[in-house]
Amino acid sequence: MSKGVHYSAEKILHCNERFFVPPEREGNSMLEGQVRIPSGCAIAAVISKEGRRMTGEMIIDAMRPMRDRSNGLGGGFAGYGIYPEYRDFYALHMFFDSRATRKDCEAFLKERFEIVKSEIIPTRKVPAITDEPIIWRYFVDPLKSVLASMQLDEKEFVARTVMKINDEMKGAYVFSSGKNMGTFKAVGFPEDVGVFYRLDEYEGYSWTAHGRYPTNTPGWWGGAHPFSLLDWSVVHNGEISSYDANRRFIEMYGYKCTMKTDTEVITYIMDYLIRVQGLTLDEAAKVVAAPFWSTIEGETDAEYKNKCVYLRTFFSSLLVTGPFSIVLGYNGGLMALNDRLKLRSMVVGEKDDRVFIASEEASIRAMQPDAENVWAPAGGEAVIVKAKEGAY
Amino acid sequence: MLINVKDLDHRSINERIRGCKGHIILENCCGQRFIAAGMSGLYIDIFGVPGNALGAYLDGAVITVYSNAQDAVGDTMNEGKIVVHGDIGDAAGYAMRGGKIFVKGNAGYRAGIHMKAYEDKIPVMVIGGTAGSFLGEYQAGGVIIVLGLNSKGRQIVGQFPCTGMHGGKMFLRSDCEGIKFPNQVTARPAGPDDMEEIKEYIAEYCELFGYDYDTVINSPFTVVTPDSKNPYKQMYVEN
Repeated sequence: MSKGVHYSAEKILHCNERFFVPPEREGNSMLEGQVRIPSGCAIAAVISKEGRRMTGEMIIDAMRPMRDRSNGLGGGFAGYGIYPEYRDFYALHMFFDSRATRKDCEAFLKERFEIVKSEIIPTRKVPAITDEPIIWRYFVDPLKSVLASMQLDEKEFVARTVMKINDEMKGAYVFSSGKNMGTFKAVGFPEDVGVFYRLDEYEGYSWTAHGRYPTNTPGWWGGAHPFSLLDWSVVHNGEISSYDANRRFIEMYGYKCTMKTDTEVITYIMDYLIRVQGLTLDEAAKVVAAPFWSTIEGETDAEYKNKCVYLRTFFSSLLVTGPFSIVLGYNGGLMALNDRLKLRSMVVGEKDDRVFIASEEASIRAMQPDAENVWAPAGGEAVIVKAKEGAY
Repeated sequence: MLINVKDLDHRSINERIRGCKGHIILENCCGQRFIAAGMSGLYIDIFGVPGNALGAYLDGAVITVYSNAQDAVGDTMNEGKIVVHGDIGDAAGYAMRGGKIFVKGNAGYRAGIHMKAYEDKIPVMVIGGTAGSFLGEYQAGGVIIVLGLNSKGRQIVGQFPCTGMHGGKMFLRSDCEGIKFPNQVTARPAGPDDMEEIKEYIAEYCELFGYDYDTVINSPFTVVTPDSKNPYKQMYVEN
């Protein structure tokens, strides 16, 4: 959710101020801290194992019973399988503070990509969502000549481009950059954000959602969840005590933490461990939510024990401490994970081909009143749900 | 009195309940928090899943839930009873100092965290299934009973039970082989005197959920108490 000390102050100064400062924080309204807001972030997700597509309405409904967990300073969604007609192109979702920034950024993009389509992301006017930046999307294909000259594979090239824009281009942020998926986020309650982005008009086989209650860092459009890079997206309830240790490590590998909050580092850790290092999802989970040494000590399976020791030792700077429950989305599946002490709640349920994950059972019931086998995974126990190969 | 709470938020629900007497039925509940907080002198039946902190600061009311319940049920409750005909989330009975909680199924993490006793009040929590990790964390008083019914091969309790326990008693219907307790507590087979203390609670559990009392009670129990000769001296700071 939020905690972070890595402010990019210069960037803030040059940007449209209202893009960064939510209206609740201005004027004479009460700030959190002056008024007690009983909240704690909310996450929810649904996936069809058969790859059947659902509109975004179900995932918006999932957030309604958890309204008390958010405070209107951030809401967002990720949908997978939503752009089948552009499935071979990277979908860049972007915030701009001005038309001039957009024009500059487009010129930059054209040096690197063939832009197949460029358009405003359609939104509805919703009274609760105000001060929106310019919200645009591009479907792009990296230029083969540029890839060849930089000697990079496609994904690495896209990831580096995203980092470059977010770090260097004032007032421009890429907040989604995967294929056949997209992240949608804003300052507001998630139910309103979903209506604002017209998610009822999209269909995906998998969706994740987040309602934000920022505790340590500003509520701004880029700071809403999910945090996304390539097809990874992360929604997170909690706060990362190890944020700065994790950030320092991951920034050595070319990632830049620019969103002024802690959760983005988990997205980059997952990209690094799984895409770059080639770990499985389960192994990556054993890195960020490593079992306690005392638990590893008691393991009887020698091979498993060695693996746990190896992962904890080799990637010790990527252990994520502090409370968290997260859902990691990617093309073809979802992974839910709690911190090893399970300091945040998370439940899983299912019905037919669908699997539901949420901070509260009520959220699952809002999606599927007769959901079955509702259970709570243990701390550090990764729950991985995949859609059938070829069905998405 | 039947109240459909489908589109009501927690504040409106509690306002409606406060205006009632006797027996109340809430239907279509879905995640509203703080239901019946601080209330006394009422019987409340809940259909649908109530939200977090159900019956917080409860002061004598009797709540029955006919589904699962979420986190922090009976947070700091003082008196009364909460009966859950399903599973229960994390941190059930958080700091309760009186009253009873009966859960038919399983409990999540940290059930009975910082449960205490107050003057003549002894809080009691009976969990019919299994409990998650950190059961009875910092327990300072009261009685926690876990029966391990329908455990489907799961251990009766997860990891790190009784961490920081310094008062009260815990009863586990198991020989507890393979369960690691901290050095500051004593776990031993329960004797007839120990069982005498909890007979009435187990009888009440069996009555509520339709279990055979003899089958449940005639089984080895382990009783866990703080070791007064070896108390916690330093969890965080020396004192």
